[in-house]
Amino acid sequence: MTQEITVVLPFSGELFGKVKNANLAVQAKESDDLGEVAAAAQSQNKLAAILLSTSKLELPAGLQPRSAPVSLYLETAGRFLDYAVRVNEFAGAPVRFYFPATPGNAVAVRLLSSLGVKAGLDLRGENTDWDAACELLHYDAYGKMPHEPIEPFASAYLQHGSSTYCEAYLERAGKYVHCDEAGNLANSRRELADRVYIGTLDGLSGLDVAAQAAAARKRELSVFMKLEGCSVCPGYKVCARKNPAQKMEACGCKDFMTALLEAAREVNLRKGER
Amino acid sequence: MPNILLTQRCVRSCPYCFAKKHMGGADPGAFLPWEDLVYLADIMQEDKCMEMRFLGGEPTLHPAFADFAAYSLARGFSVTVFTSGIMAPKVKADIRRVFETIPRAKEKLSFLCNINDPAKSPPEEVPAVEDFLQEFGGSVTPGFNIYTLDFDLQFLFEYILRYGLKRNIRLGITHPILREDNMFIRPEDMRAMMQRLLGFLPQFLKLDVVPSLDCGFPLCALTDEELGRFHKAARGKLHFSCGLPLDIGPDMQVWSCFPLSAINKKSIYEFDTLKQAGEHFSQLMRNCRVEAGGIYPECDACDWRKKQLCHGGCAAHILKKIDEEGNIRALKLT
Repeated sequence: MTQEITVVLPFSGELFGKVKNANLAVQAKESDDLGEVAAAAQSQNKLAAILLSTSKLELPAGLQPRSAPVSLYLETAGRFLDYAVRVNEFAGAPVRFYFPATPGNAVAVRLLSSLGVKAGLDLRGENTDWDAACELLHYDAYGKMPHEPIEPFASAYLQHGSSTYCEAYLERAGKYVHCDEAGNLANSRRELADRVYIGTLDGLSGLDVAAQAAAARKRELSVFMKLEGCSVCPGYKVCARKNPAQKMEACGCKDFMTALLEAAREVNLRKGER
Repeated sequence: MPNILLTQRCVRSCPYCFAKKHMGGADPGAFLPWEDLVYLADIMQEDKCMEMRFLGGEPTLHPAFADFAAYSLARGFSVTVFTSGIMAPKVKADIRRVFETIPRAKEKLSFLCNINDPAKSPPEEVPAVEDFLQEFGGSVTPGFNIYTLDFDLQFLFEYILRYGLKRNIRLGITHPILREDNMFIRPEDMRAMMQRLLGFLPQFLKLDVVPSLDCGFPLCALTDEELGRFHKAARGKLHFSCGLPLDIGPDMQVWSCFPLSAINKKSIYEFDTLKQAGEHFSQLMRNCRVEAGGIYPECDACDWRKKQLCHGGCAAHILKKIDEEGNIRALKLT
């Protein structure tokens, strides 16, 4: 059972000891050595990913070339000249840089992607600039030259736009559970913060993941009880209010989600033509 | 090879400025955005055109100028910056960082510094230019625009020796700006201008400096004997053509060389490729040359023009003539 889901949890030997043979996505701290994180996580579990919030656009200490994928979350990329010298290192590393969706960060993601660096926007913030995200999406889907695919767009294309874009952030009920330092489990990062728990790490093996996913799906579909807002949004198919930070009243993402859906169709159509 | 205008702001007010017409009609605050630089890099790479040529105004006034240069180098382009050399210390520090940190920047980043005669320049400009040459001289090709018949190149030879500049002087002649009043070399003065230039040939040869002619020089301004001497000094790289470079503004408007900007400006987004844009403007130029072959009446029947050895001087003269004639031509200027 534990192989079917991935537990997103903080870097803690104590937590790691509570599970065996589980897929772990470990949230490390800026001061942590990723080599040590990987060794501890892999002692009796499988390391699926590492997440790290950091303040500098640089490769983290202890990163191994064959490491599990690392998602680095930064507030801003800063000036190109400040990181230009490291771009070649970034391009070959198992790392993706994520930034909040601001106009400046959307430009930084475009630059990094055009230079072969894995990058993406974190669309979960309440201040997401959907226009900036939309411009970046346009570049990613319709740009003239090959570039490194940008997240979360690439995740959305994978399923022809069927509501998977939040998987780039390891958010999907039934596939990921989020764990806090006390071992509580929740369906999403937001629900963990809101203390909407679905169980504990100790009881992970007994957790009915399928039931949790079905309940989450039911919550998603409840939006259709009223013919307004998200239920009449053409972008709902790709959005599906998977983003726990979204508010139905004025989420502002309609144009973006519609464009993402269209881009997913277009990208897959092109793939089919090849 | 397109020229990319990073901004239309300039630090100088040259009496001959061939870009003045364009600068005057544009938002002086406009800077090329990052997104558009990436787009231009993409279409240039697609056309296998791997040289970025940054122009202005003064391109180093762009707040991200050094970052643009670093990015272009990281994309594999070589970068040529057309500058006055007048720039803030912070910009020079940024350029220094590009040279120090970006691989192969010393080979791939260069400057074409358009230098005015210090004797005719505002006094505060001269030390600023000399500071730039002092610091980056090894990466600088000096350029000079000829706009009067009494021009002097002596100061350029001195700069080359003093600051170790590249041993090549790019010589441009100034052209008329449609519906503007600027200083330029008139067709009837081309011969005298060339005579003056020939007077500097011994120094070019003695100091091993190569004169390189920009577009718009007419072949007939030189006798065969003079042409032979010039040919040797220029090491065989002598042309009397009109290169039709594409200029792309910070607002992504494109035109073919400043003289043609008066008759048809387009958005670069109207074209799928740079080649397509080039073909569009080549056709416009052909239409223009149907009206008048070149800057002299004799150009129409000139064998050398027919054989493409000379393009008949700069189209700006032809456009000015057409514009001043009134509405009697098939070619309409807008």
